[in-house]
Amino acid sequence: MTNPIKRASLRRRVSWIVWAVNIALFATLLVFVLR
Amino acid sequence: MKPFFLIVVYLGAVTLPLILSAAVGGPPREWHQELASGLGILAFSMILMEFILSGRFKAISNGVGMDVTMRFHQIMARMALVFALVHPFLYQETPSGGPRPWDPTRELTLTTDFSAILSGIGAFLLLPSLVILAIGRTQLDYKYETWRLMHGVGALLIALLLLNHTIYGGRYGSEPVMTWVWLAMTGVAVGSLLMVYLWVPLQQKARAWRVVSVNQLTPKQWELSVEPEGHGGLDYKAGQFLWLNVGHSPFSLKENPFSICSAPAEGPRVSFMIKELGDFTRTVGQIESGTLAYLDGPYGNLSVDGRAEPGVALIAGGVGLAPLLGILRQMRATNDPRKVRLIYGNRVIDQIAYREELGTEDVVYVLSEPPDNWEGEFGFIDGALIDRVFSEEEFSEWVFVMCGPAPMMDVVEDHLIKRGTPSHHILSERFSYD
Repeated sequence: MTNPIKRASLRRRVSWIVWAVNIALFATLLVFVLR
Repeated sequence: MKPFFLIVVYLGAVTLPLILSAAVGGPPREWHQELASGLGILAFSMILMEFILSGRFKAISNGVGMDVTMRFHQIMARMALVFALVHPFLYQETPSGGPRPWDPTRELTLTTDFSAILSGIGAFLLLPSLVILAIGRTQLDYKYETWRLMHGVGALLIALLLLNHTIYGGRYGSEPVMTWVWLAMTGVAVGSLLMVYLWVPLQQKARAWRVVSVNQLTPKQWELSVEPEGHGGLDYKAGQFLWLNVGHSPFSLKENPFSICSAPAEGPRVSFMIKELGDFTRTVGQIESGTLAYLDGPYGNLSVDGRAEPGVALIAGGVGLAPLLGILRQMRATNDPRKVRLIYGNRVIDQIAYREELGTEDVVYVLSEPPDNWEGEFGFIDGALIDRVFSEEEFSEWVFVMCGPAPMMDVVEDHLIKRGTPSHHILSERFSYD
């Protein structure tokens, strides 16, 4: 069974973008809240 | 545009109001009130960016792919919904009321201005409805154009309500700089709607097309061809798709996405392979030659132009042949030196389209319900079949392009990765995004 994370599927292509965007959004939010 | 650049632009636009709010919005309050405002601000800017992620901007969808754009649009909409729904509850126990002379920066009190609260409540109720209707679109069985109209009008209404709520109800939004920022961002979002529904149709009107043939390929598949009406035609790459409107005003919402199955090298005529599935496709056979048509496109990044791999593997299921046929035709018309091999799967023999044109050289036909005298491959397009068709060297060196039902694409993608095909050698574009 192939590791699903390694799949070149739509889910995989989108998921790294969503992860990158979410980390950046939550980091900005954290800085805003704790400033 | 490159994906990385697009992501940076997206992040910059979404976080700009939050960063500016921190810079101009007075002293910070308790953490839960700041979190409440922060979530509200992010939700609004994410909702405004959803307009730009609607899939109709080529700079975006041709950069990362239409399927990625649409899936990202869906996921970010759900996140914005959660942010928006959570945000009012985090203000709990904050004193509320009108302006207080001893609290000029509204550090201590929340507004209770009725109209600003009401617009927020309106958006609070509309936003989940919009998202739920979008998620359940196929189950609810709306006509495609009805759903699009509802989605566009609903989104516009939510954006305007949120603009009012943010400017008049928000502590940060009421700062003059922020008011201008929100007005500008909402203007861009609304402008994007005007562009899609007014500007693009106006351009289409000046570049009309005419249906020149409608041929029945198989019992349920048709080829529809159009030619430009007094203009140079379409600048596209084999494998791309566009929005086709046949027999309606360019301002009509009655347009559907179809892959182009012709090749740019063959001339200005553009052809589509269409399977009878929904409202429009069931009536394709009744379209008469001479009917006016309008095209919006091309979209998508399913193209092998300029790629360095020595061979091109095309894997098609059913009507998924359309974009791959375009690629094959382009390669044949330009005497492309790269090797090419097509796997074309169907359920029964009657569903095989373009059999004469495709020929037998470099084409592997697969039937899941073959007739008794069938000598080709049978079963589904799976790992075992792909192993019979491609060598180890081809797995690692060729580019694999696929289009077909989602389960087929999953199986093929999994198998290619297992065989060592680098993921950047696998091209696929899905036309259902969930």
